[in-house]
Amino acid sequence: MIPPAWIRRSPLGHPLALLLPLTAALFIASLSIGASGVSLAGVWADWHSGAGGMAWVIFTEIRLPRALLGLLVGGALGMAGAALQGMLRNPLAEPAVIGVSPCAALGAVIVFYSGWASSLALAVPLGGIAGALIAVALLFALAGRSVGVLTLILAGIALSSFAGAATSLALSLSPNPYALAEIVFWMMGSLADRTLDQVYLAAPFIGVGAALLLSAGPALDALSLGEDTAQSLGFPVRRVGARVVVGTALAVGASVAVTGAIGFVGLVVPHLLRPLVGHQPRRLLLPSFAGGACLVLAADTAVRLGGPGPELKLGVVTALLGAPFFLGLVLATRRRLA
Amino acid sequence: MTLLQAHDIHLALDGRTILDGVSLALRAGEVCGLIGPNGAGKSSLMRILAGLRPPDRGGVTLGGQPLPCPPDRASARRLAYLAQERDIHWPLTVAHVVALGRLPHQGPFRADGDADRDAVERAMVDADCAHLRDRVATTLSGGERARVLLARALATAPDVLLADEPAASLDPLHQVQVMSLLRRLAHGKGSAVLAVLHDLNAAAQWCDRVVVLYDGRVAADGAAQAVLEPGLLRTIYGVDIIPGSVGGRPVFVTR
Repeated sequence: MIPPAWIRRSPLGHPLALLLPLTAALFIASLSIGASGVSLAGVWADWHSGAGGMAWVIFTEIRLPRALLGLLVGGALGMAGAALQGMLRNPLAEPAVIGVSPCAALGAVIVFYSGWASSLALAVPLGGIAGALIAVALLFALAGRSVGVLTLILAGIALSSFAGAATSLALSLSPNPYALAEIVFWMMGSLADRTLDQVYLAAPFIGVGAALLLSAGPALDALSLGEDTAQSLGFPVRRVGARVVVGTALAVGASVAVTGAIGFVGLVVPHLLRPLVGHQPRRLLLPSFAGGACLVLAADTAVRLGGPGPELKLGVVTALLGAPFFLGLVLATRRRLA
Repeated sequence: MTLLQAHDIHLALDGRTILDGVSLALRAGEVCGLIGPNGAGKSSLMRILAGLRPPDRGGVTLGGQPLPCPPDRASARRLAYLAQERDIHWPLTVAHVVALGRLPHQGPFRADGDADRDAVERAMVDADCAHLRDRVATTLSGGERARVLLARALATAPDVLLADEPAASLDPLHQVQVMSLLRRLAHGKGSAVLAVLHDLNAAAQWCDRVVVLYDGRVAADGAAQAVLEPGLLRTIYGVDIIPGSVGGRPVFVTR
């Protein structure tokens, strides 16, 4: 499906022209809404007075990390999904298929389990990043010299199942029910109660990962015509595969390490935006970053509007919305094939 | 002038010899047909010539320089490969597909320049698919798709075009269009063209030179009339093929 004529002709033709203002608006909304009822005007007054009052503390300690993480993590998930779908030439690919997110979660769970989490504030995200990097090393070891599509997916599935089983094992052996509850809640994925230190930890990984994914853009376009043609156009498929896998591991691994697993963003966002960029894999990357950021910021803000009582977990909300969408995708594919 | 040269290429897969010392030189301004029975190693040879797979022994040079495997960007600007599979994985428009041929000429973050747009436009006109430009390439007929992918290869403006069965599954009109286009590319622009063909009549009609690959070796190499003689055809295909002539043109009929 090519984009409708009004999109191609309008000056707002590029989807970023719509998505960037939307991202900015949702970012500001995320900064202004919260349980404390602190308004941005109050924060501004606080900052101006230089006193560092309650409003300023709430803003920098609670709201700002949350909004920044929504932006970065949503963007990382969306862009990684777009890049993986382009590389594997499959609209059903998402970051979890190459096993990176389950391994990052396992790394974090091991840290929880070992008790290092209480002694070092950044132990959990560091464990998650280590898990993601180990996943990539294993992926290349398993897939061997040829980073072919099939071997990569099979190796990813094997890694995912192994990491899932190891996580369950850690949970079932947990001696402490409170630690167990903490781990389970963490795994559901949330942006709540994160600090700016965690943002500083994740941001460089996400930045480098996103840059790697962006640099693979032309190669992803070339891959639309198959691996042989892409190679003949001067894009070595092995190196492109390595770039996308490492980029995804850095960006998504760091995201999962800080926020837990937030599902379906990497699947849904590229799929929704693809028709708007004429299905071109390279042009899909940046809009998917913005779209992922929009989705996670919106979902995270909606979670906070849920009223009193414990917040819904963000990962639960995105999965609740994402699963029916995925089903719809399957049904649409079936209809097309029928 | 020799543009692409393969020297003593050997290849074995799973212990089975596929190519056994193949040497081949492609000259500027020449359409060369590569013919041979199924399984003779034609596609393997094409992939080695394109730098898509390394041979076990032997080497390929492009313009006198060793061709890297996989090809680097500079080689990709000079050498285009038209795959036998006509895969288009996303519903891209025809114009976008043809523009992919310009990727070796562009940097990672550079948008299309005027030279790129001109080359894409010319390639679409040459391959007779300019009128399809806004159509979705995955919805085209087989013949249209073959022309679009040929336009993609032409958009690169290569010195050497390696086309693996460019005329397969095309009706007579489209076959003539594609073959005459390859000929214009060689005779008009001085490129070297190597095309895998199964149709002996087309090979005799359109190729300046025919290379016969049989059992991993070059069984014959020369002008079609000289090369395609009954004895050789009987050996390589295992059926009697009678050369004849209609209106001064060679034709081949199986008995």
